[in-house]
Amino acid sequence: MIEAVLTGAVAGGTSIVFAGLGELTCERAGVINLGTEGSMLCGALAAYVVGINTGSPWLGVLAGIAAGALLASVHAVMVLHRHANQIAVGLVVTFLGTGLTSLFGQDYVGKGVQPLESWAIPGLSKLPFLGTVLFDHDPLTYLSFVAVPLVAWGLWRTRAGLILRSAGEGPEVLEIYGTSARKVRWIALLVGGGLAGLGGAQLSTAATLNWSEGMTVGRGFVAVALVIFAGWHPLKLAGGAYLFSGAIALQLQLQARGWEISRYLLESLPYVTVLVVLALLSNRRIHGGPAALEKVFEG
Amino acid sequence: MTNDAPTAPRDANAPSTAERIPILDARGITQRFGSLVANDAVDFSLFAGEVHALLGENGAGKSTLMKVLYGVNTPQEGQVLVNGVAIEPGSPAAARAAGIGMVFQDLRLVPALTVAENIELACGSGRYRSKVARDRVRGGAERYGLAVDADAVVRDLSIAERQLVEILRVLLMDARVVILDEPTSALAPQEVDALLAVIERLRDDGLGIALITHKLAETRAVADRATVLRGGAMVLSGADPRSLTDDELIETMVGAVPPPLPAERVPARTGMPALAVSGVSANGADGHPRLHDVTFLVQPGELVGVAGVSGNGQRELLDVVLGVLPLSSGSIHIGGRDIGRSGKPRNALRAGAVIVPEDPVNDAVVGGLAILEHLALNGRPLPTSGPRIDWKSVRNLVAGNDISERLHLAPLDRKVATLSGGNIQRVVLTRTFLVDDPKLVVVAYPSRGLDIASVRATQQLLLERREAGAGVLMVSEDLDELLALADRIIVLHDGHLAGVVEPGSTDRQAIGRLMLQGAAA
Repeated sequence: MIEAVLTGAVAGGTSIVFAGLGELTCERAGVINLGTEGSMLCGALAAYVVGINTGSPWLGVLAGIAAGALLASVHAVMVLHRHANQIAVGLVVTFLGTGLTSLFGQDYVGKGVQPLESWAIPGLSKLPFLGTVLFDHDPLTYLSFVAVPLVAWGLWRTRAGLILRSAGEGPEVLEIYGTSARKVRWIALLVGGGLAGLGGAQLSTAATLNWSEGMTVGRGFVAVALVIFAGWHPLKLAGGAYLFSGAIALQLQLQARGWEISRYLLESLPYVTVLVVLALLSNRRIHGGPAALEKVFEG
Repeated sequence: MTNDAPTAPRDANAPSTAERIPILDARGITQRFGSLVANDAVDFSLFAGEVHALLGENGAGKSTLMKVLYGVNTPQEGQVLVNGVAIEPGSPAAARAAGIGMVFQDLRLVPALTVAENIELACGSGRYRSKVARDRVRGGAERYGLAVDADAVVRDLSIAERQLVEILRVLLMDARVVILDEPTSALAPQEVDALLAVIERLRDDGLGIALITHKLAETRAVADRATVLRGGAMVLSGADPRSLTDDELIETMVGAVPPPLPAERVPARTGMPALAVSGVSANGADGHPRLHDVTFLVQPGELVGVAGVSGNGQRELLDVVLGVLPLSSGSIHIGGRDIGRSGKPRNALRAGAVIVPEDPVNDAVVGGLAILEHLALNGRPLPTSGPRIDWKSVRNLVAGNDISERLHLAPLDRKVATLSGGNIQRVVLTRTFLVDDPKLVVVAYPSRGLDIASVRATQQLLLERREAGAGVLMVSEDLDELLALADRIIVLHDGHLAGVVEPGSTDRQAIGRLMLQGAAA
């Protein structure tokens, strides 16, 4: 059972890892993007639809990225050009994404998609225990293994990362040296939305192989919470994502084994887990965020 | 662009500056904002290897001139030449490229980044390699003799240390001219001395330093020449400050030397203390402990000053005395009345406290209300006639004494939102001094934003309050002001009471040691 739960944690965590990395990118640049949930849904549907119509799951994945980024650009226009409240706009953008995907997705509910096949890595996947947990997954999950350290490296070891962090910590300083903080935040939102879309694409074309209305069930919001609980750090974020999806996998296992507990109670377990962890950690995390996060900057 | 400037003779008194080409030469700068003439045909030149002080009061036009030099403002008339060549006006990039560097008063660093990362933002290019960035800082720090740690996070540095980072940043951007805007305003005396030593070293290295200041002592200490602005006009141009007395310099800045403060003081009274702070600890607004077991008394008729490098608990001390911030332990009595520990300002006001807060613009005024309305909102019951507020009695109160006149208060019907910071300070000061018979006057940075004459009037009003029997608690960054006014000075360091000194039996260095090192000094 432990092996099944851990395998489920890794496979199910991928979409949250991508969405979380996207949110982390936005917040490091100083913008809270609560539209992440909406971008995930758009990515999930776009990947599913394009996958079915072209027969190529990879084209679907690209469409998912584009759809997520497109929805995030609504947030960018409202927040960076109209200086609207980031929280309010983010929520509305998520509702917009939910509504649009319900509308355009209704004909696709239950249709099978050409799945993104699992690649069992030769040799490694034969390892006892670890082989199944880590090395028998879809390609996007392997990509997420690379993406986490890559984002960390990018943030702290490249000029682009330095400029991104400065946009979130001191946009006015950035402007003095001739870099537009607004431009940096635009790019961060597009990348962030694209990553959320990629997470959604993984969910529909590799994990569930299905589309249903509101299928992300709050994963985007969980990603936002995890970014904060991870102290805006990619590696800790990944840990949180796997904890959350591990709790999902655990409750599925418990249900499958016929535990005499209400299904609804079990299904709330992952969210309760995140809440408990947040409650235990948040007191000392309050001051870890980027200084200019959520602040309007009239650049 | 770096080494073609003529190098100055090391002897700063050399008379031959006229034949050399200045590295920076602003000629006939006139800058108008609407009908206001902020700079009226001002000249300012700077040679390699000299320090040129730009003196003047707040609002005299110093900052405007510096913004012209740095290309932030485009003047209506005049031009700026670098090594004899005019540079494009209104372009900070052009000014930077010509070798002009500016250290702003509100330092332009990202607190969350390390020193090396901040400097990389300013002068890095191409691929970012943290080792290269750190080596650049280390090399620069060594070359210019600045104590700067490349790996320190700026947030953890003191203001003085951040200033050195800014100076290093400017130097690493190949500046040959360094403009320093009021660099000593937030520093302890030892830090001022250290900064002045850095300025002298840079001068000896052949750089030109423009020092904006209103302090005579530092002008005397390092400046080779001084230019004084008053009301936008140039009243002294490039004179040797050593050829003038302090009074002559003040007169050029202010127009007249303000009357001295009375030397004789009535001794403090005994009896029920105006303020008793006993064993007070408190957390700041961010939840971190900021005050640790602070105990002191203010007697009626006594003026107690609070000194400390900014951010060492002054704000929290003001807030607990006024009951804005709850105590975690200890007690506070105003005129014998316990104001409680729960953080209710009403208790302090009822016990007879009045206040000029640290940040009046944000904490003490409502932009949409008129000055008159502010004077009524003083924490005491409003004067009423029937159900109405009796505005006439407020006007009569203002007219009935000379306080508003002495402080040059703006007309009573002006909305506060239309006032400058200095004029808002005048509103808050007037309101405080109009309150009848306070037990305790708490005043933070009383002279902030005021001209020298108003500063003196404020100081005299504070002494009058003291003489009338009120206890006065005054927080100030200006040691001269504290030494001139206070009966005793308490020094805060890291939220601890580092020591209590009497102005008559101490010197600035001793206070500075307490400010920087705490009770261990």
